[in-house]
Amino acid sequence: MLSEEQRLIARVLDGHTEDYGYFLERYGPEVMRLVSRLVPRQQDAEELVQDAFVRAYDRLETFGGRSSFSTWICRIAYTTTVSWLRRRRVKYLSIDDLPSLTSSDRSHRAGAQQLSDAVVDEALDDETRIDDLRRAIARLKPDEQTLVILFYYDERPLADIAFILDIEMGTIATRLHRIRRKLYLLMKHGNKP
Amino acid sequence: METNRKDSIRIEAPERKDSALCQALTPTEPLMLPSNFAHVTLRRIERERLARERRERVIAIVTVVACLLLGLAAIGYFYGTALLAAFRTMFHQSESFSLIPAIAFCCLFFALLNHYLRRRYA
Repeated sequence: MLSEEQRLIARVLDGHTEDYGYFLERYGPEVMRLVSRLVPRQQDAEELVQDAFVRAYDRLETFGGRSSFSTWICRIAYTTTVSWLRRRRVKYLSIDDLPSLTSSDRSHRAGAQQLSDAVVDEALDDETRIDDLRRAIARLKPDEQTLVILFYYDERPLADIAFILDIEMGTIATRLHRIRRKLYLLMKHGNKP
Repeated sequence: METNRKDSIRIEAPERKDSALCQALTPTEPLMLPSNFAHVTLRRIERERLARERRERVIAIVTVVACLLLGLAAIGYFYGTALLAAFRTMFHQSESFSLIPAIAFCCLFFALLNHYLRRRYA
């Protein structure tokens, strides 16, 4: 299948633009799934997916086959979406903002440091709090949301995730660990602004 | 101590097991692409390709014209006086000038022939 795709890419680069339709049909829904998590409005998400594919077409000669086309297009879609969100100046919650959610900042900060994984695991495994968890996920930064989605939902390999988010593979586990704690804190404090 | 050791193990090898987290990540109303998405995107790609080609052609023409004008201006600036004097002399000596129309005619003929052959056999 990969060599078939390489052949199609060569044809597209040769001027057969219509062959690019294969990639649009095959990877469009996957890219839409990724983009729609960060941009929930249908029209905006559609436009961003289209922008990502047009950008990919313009840079098709730079696709060397180092990753799969799916991973490559997801990376382009991710960067396109993040730039769009940045232009829109959407404010996300940083983990440093979380202590201010409680009345006793210092004790909370100390608590966050000593937060045990068992407590976090239990909270994230509690099926009665799915709505809280959903709200907490929506308040994560785009890179954090994408990381969680790619890792837990799409179950992508770490190498692909590192490529899409342009981060070191070795830092993924640490980031996930921090995000899990952040989710727990957001849930604990009732997702207050 | 035990918790800390457990933490470090978890950082090295994250697991994908939290059922609530996975359920929360499942979109409640998944957004879908319209059925004509591929068609619309291909049309946009084609439109942008044509626009880019047109832009490149305009840039090329403008560059060539600018270079020509610059070249003519440089010739005029450096050799203008000498050229004018030479032209004046040429017009006054009718024998030398009689070759000019013939050369101009030949140049025009070859230019037209070149244009015709290019259009027919390119």
